[in-house]
Amino acid sequence: MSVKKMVFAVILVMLAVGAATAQTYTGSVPISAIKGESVTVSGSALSQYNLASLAPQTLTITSVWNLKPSRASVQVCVYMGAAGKMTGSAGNSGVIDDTMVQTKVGASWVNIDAGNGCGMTAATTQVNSYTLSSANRVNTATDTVQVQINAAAVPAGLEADTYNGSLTVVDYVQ
Amino acid sequence: MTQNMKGSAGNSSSIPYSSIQLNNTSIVTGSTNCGVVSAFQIANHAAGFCFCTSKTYTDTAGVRIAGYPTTLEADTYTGTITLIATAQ
Repeated sequence: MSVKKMVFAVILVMLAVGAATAQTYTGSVPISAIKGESVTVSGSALSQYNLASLAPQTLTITSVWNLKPSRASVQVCVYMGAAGKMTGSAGNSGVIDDTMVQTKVGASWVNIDAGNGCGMTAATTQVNSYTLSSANRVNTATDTVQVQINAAAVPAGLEADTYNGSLTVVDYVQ
Repeated sequence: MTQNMKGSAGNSSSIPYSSIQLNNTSIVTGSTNCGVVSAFQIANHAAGFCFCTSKTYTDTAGVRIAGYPTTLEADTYTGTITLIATAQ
Protein backbone atom coordinates (compact mmCIF):
# COMPACT_ATOMS: atom_id res chain seq x y z
CA MET A 1 0.00 0.00 0.00
CA SER A 2 1.37 3.35 -0.95
CA VAL A 3 1.84 6.17 1.56
CA LYS A 4 -0.97 8.15 -0.10
CA LYS A 5 -3.39 5.27 0.28
CA MET A 6 -2.41 4.82 3.91
CA VAL A 7 -3.00 8.49 4.71
CA PHE A 8 -6.34 8.40 2.92
CA ALA A 9 -7.35 5.33 4.90
CA VAL A 10 -6.42 6.98 8.19
CA ILE A 11 -8.47 10.05 7.29
CA LEU A 12 -11.46 7.90 6.45
CA VAL A 13 -11.20 6.13 9.81
CA MET A 14 -10.96 9.49 11.64
CA LEU A 15 -14.03 10.80 9.86
CA ALA A 16 -15.93 7.63 10.58
CA VAL A 17 -15.08 7.79 14.28
CA GLY A 18 -16.02 11.48 14.43
CA ALA A 19 -19.35 10.91 12.73
CA ALA A 20 -20.25 8.11 15.04
CA THR A 21 -19.89 10.04 18.32
CA ALA A 22 -22.18 13.08 18.42
CA GLN A 23 -21.84 15.11 21.57
CA THR A 24 -24.24 17.74 22.93
CA TYR A 25 -23.32 20.69 25.15
CA THR A 26 -25.89 23.00 26.74
CA GLY A 27 -26.08 26.42 28.34
CA SER A 28 -28.97 28.72 29.25
CA VAL A 29 -30.04 32.32 28.87
CA PRO A 30 -32.58 33.89 31.23
CA ILE A 31 -35.42 35.79 29.60
CA SER A 32 -37.53 38.31 31.50
CA ALA A 33 -40.49 40.57 30.71
CA ILE A 34 -42.50 43.03 32.75
CA LYS A 35 -46.13 44.01 32.35
CA GLY A 36 -46.81 47.27 34.12
CA GLU A 37 -49.85 48.07 36.18
CA SER A 38 -52.73 50.04 34.72
CA VAL A 39 -55.78 51.68 36.25
CA THR A 40 -58.42 53.86 34.66
CA VAL A 41 -61.47 55.30 36.39
CA SER A 42 -64.30 57.35 34.93
CA GLY A 43 -67.72 58.60 35.97
CA SER A 44 -70.92 58.87 34.00
CA ALA A 45 -72.28 62.30 33.20
CA LEU A 46 -74.89 63.81 35.48
CA SER A 47 -77.84 65.69 34.10
CA GLN A 48 -78.37 69.27 35.14
CA TYR A 49 -80.14 69.59 38.48
CA ASN A 50 -83.14 71.89 38.68
CA LEU A 51 -83.04 73.66 42.04
CA ALA A 52 -86.79 74.20 41.82
CA SER A 53 -87.46 70.46 41.80
CA LEU A 54 -84.42 68.59 43.02
CA ALA A 55 -84.17 64.85 42.51
CA PRO A 56 -81.31 62.43 43.14
CA GLN A 57 -79.28 61.02 40.28
CA THR A 58 -77.21 57.91 39.91
CA LEU A 59 -73.52 58.33 39.26
CA THR A 60 -71.92 55.25 37.70
CA ILE A 61 -68.19 54.80 38.25
CA THR A 62 -66.33 52.45 35.95
CA SER A 63 -62.91 51.20 36.99
CA VAL A 64 -60.60 49.11 34.85
CA TRP A 65 -57.45 47.77 36.43
CA ASN A 66 -54.63 45.28 35.95
CA LEU A 67 -52.61 45.05 39.15
CA LYS A 68 -49.61 43.16 40.46
CA PRO A 69 -50.08 40.16 42.76
CA SER A 70 -48.60 42.18 45.61
CA ARG A 71 -51.60 44.53 45.62
CA ALA A 72 -54.20 43.94 48.30
CA SER A 73 -57.16 46.18 47.60
CA VAL A 74 -58.84 48.86 45.50
CA GLN A 75 -61.09 51.51 47.00
CA VAL A 76 -63.46 53.50 44.82
CA CYS A 77 -64.40 57.01 45.99
CA VAL A 78 -65.99 60.23 44.84
CA TYR A 79 -65.56 63.72 46.22
CA MET A 80 -66.19 67.34 45.32
CA GLY A 81 -63.59 69.23 47.31
CA ALA A 82 -63.05 72.97 47.21
CA ALA A 83 -61.92 72.79 43.61
CA GLY A 84 -65.15 71.18 42.46
CA LYS A 85 -67.63 73.59 43.99
CA MET A 86 -70.38 74.78 41.66
CA THR A 87 -70.09 78.42 40.67
CA GLY A 88 -72.25 80.69 38.55
CA SER A 89 -71.54 83.39 36.03
CA ALA A 90 -68.97 86.14 36.49
CA GLY A 91 -70.13 88.60 39.08
CA ASN A 92 -72.21 86.02 40.91
CA SER A 93 -70.53 85.13 44.19
CA GLY A 94 -73.00 82.44 45.14
CA VAL A 95 -71.79 78.84 45.17
CA ILE A 96 -73.07 75.34 45.74
CA ASP A 97 -70.24 73.69 47.63
CA ASP A 98 -69.53 70.26 49.09
CA THR A 99 -71.61 70.98 52.20
CA MET A 100 -74.70 71.15 49.99
CA VAL A 101 -74.10 67.99 47.92
CA GLN A 102 -74.96 64.59 49.33
CA THR A 103 -74.32 60.99 48.42
CA LYS A 104 -76.01 57.76 49.35
CA VAL A 105 -74.16 54.44 49.21
CA GLY A 106 -76.00 52.61 51.96
CA ALA A 107 -79.24 53.53 53.61
CA SER A 108 -78.84 57.21 54.33
CA TRP A 109 -77.71 60.45 52.75
CA VAL A 110 -74.45 62.03 53.88
CA ASN A 111 -72.44 65.02 52.76
CA ILE A 112 -70.26 64.02 49.82
CA ASP A 113 -67.01 65.03 51.51
CA ALA A 114 -67.76 63.86 55.04
CA GLY A 115 -66.50 60.29 54.85
CA ASN A 116 -63.18 58.47 54.96
CA GLY A 117 -61.57 56.42 52.23
CA CYS A 118 -59.07 56.38 49.40
CA GLY A 119 -56.40 57.75 51.71
CA MET A 120 -58.54 60.76 52.68
CA THR A 121 -60.08 61.56 56.06
CA ALA A 122 -63.42 63.35 56.27
CA ALA A 123 -63.09 64.40 52.67
CA THR A 124 -64.73 61.82 50.45
CA THR A 125 -67.43 59.22 49.90
CA GLN A 126 -66.16 55.66 49.66
CA VAL A 127 -68.34 53.92 47.14
CA ASN A 128 -66.81 50.46 47.26
CA SER A 129 -63.77 48.49 48.39
CA TYR A 130 -62.41 45.42 46.62
CA THR A 131 -60.17 42.83 48.19
CA LEU A 132 -57.89 41.61 45.44
CA SER A 133 -57.28 37.98 44.56
CA SER A 134 -56.29 36.03 41.50
CA ALA A 135 -59.93 36.27 40.47
CA ASN A 136 -60.04 40.07 40.17
CA ARG A 137 -56.52 41.45 39.75
CA VAL A 138 -57.46 41.98 36.12
CA ASN A 139 -60.91 43.47 36.36
CA THR A 140 -63.57 45.90 35.22
CA ALA A 141 -65.74 47.14 38.08
CA THR A 142 -68.93 49.17 37.86
CA ASP A 143 -70.14 50.95 40.98
CA THR A 144 -73.05 53.30 41.53
CA VAL A 145 -73.73 56.02 44.04
CA GLN A 146 -76.71 58.31 44.43
CA VAL A 147 -75.93 62.03 44.26
CA GLN A 148 -78.22 64.87 45.18
CA ILE A 149 -78.11 68.57 45.97
CA ASN A 150 -79.48 69.06 49.46
CA ALA A 151 -82.23 71.64 49.01
CA ALA A 152 -82.24 72.45 52.71
CA ALA A 153 -78.57 73.42 52.61
CA VAL A 154 -78.67 75.63 49.53
CA PRO A 155 -78.88 79.33 50.54
CA ALA A 156 -82.33 80.76 49.98
CA GLY A 157 -80.76 83.84 48.44
CA LEU A 158 -78.86 81.96 45.77
CA GLU A 159 -79.05 83.98 42.57
CA ALA A 160 -80.82 82.67 39.50
CA ASP A 161 -77.99 81.31 37.39
CA THR A 162 -76.42 78.17 35.99
CA TYR A 163 -73.94 76.64 38.42
CA ASN A 164 -71.21 74.31 37.24
CA GLY A 165 -68.73 72.26 39.21
CA SER A 166 -67.15 68.84 39.14
CA LEU A 167 -66.90 65.64 41.11
CA THR A 168 -63.68 63.68 41.24
CA VAL A 169 -63.76 59.88 41.05
CA VAL A 170 -60.87 57.97 42.56
CA ASP A 171 -59.43 54.47 42.50
CA TYR A 172 -57.09 54.02 45.45
CA VAL A 173 -54.81 51.00 45.13
CA GLN A 174 -52.94 49.48 48.05
CA MET B 1 -37.48 26.74 25.49
CA THR B 2 -39.87 24.24 26.98
CA GLN B 3 -41.73 26.16 29.67
CA ASN B 4 -43.84 29.28 29.78
CA MET B 5 -42.57 32.52 31.31
CA LYS B 6 -44.03 32.67 34.79
CA GLY B 7 -44.82 35.51 37.20
CA SER B 8 -44.95 35.83 40.97
CA ALA B 9 -46.44 33.30 43.33
CA GLY B 10 -50.20 33.38 43.11
CA ASN B 11 -50.20 34.57 39.53
CA SER B 12 -51.48 31.80 37.31
CA SER B 13 -51.17 33.72 34.07
CA SER B 14 -48.06 33.25 31.92
CA ILE B 15 -46.44 34.10 28.61
CA PRO B 16 -46.56 30.96 26.44
CA TYR B 17 -43.15 29.83 25.24
CA SER B 18 -44.65 29.39 21.80
CA SER B 19 -44.97 33.20 21.72
CA ILE B 20 -41.21 33.62 21.90
CA GLN B 21 -39.76 34.15 18.45
CA LEU B 22 -36.22 33.85 17.14
CA ASN B 23 -35.64 35.70 13.90
CA ASN B 24 -39.42 36.21 13.63
CA THR B 25 -40.14 32.49 13.84
CA SER B 26 -41.56 30.70 16.87
CA ILE B 27 -38.90 29.13 19.03
CA VAL B 28 -41.08 26.02 18.95
CA THR B 29 -40.28 24.63 15.52
CA GLY B 30 -41.91 21.23 15.70
CA SER B 31 -38.86 19.65 14.09
CA THR B 32 -35.77 18.08 15.59
CA ASN B 33 -32.61 20.17 15.60
CA CYS B 34 -29.38 19.55 17.49
CA GLY B 35 -30.93 16.24 18.44
CA VAL B 36 -33.72 17.95 20.38
CA VAL B 37 -37.35 17.87 19.39
CA SER B 38 -38.71 21.34 18.54
CA ALA B 39 -35.39 23.11 19.01
CA PHE B 40 -34.59 26.11 16.85
CA GLN B 41 -31.38 25.89 14.80
CA ILE B 42 -29.50 29.15 14.73
CA ALA B 43 -26.37 28.07 12.86
CA ASN B 44 -24.59 25.10 11.39
CA HIS B 45 -20.83 25.28 11.26
CA ALA B 46 -18.89 22.83 9.13
CA ALA B 47 -15.90 21.73 11.16
CA GLY B 48 -13.54 20.97 8.30
CA PHE B 49 -9.90 20.38 9.11
CA CYS B 50 -8.35 22.61 11.70
CA PHE B 51 -4.84 22.24 13.02
CA CYS B 52 -5.70 24.17 16.16
CA THR B 53 -6.72 23.49 19.76
CA SER B 54 -9.95 25.51 19.73
CA LYS B 55 -12.11 27.65 17.54
CA THR B 56 -14.65 30.31 18.50
CA TYR B 57 -17.90 30.99 16.72
CA THR B 58 -20.31 33.77 17.52
CA ASP B 59 -23.91 33.41 16.39
CA THR B 60 -26.78 35.81 16.86
CA ALA B 61 -30.57 35.60 16.74
CA GLY B 62 -33.23 38.26 17.16
CA VAL B 63 -35.46 37.46 20.14
CA ARG B 64 -38.89 38.90 20.68
CA ILE B 65 -42.12 38.19 22.50
CA ALA B 66 -44.70 38.06 19.76
CA GLY B 67 -47.80 38.12 21.95
CA TYR B 68 -49.39 37.34 25.28
CA PRO B 69 -52.87 36.66 26.65
CA THR B 70 -55.13 39.67 27.06
CA THR B 71 -55.71 38.58 30.64
CA LEU B 72 -52.00 38.61 31.50
CA GLU B 73 -51.62 40.10 34.97
CA ALA B 74 -49.29 42.99 35.71
CA ASP B 75 -46.15 41.29 36.94
CA THR B 76 -42.56 40.37 36.09
CA TYR B 77 -42.31 37.20 34.04
CA THR B 78 -39.18 35.09 33.78
CA GLY B 79 -38.17 32.02 31.84
CA THR B 80 -35.14 30.26 30.40
CA ILE B 81 -33.88 29.70 26.88
CA THR B 82 -31.66 26.66 26.62
CA LEU B 83 -28.64 26.80 24.33
CA ILE B 84 -27.41 23.66 22.66
CA ALA B 85 -24.29 22.91 20.65
CA THR B 86 -24.10 19.48 19.11
CA ALA B 87 -20.82 18.26 17.65
CA GLN B 88 -20.86 15.44 15.16
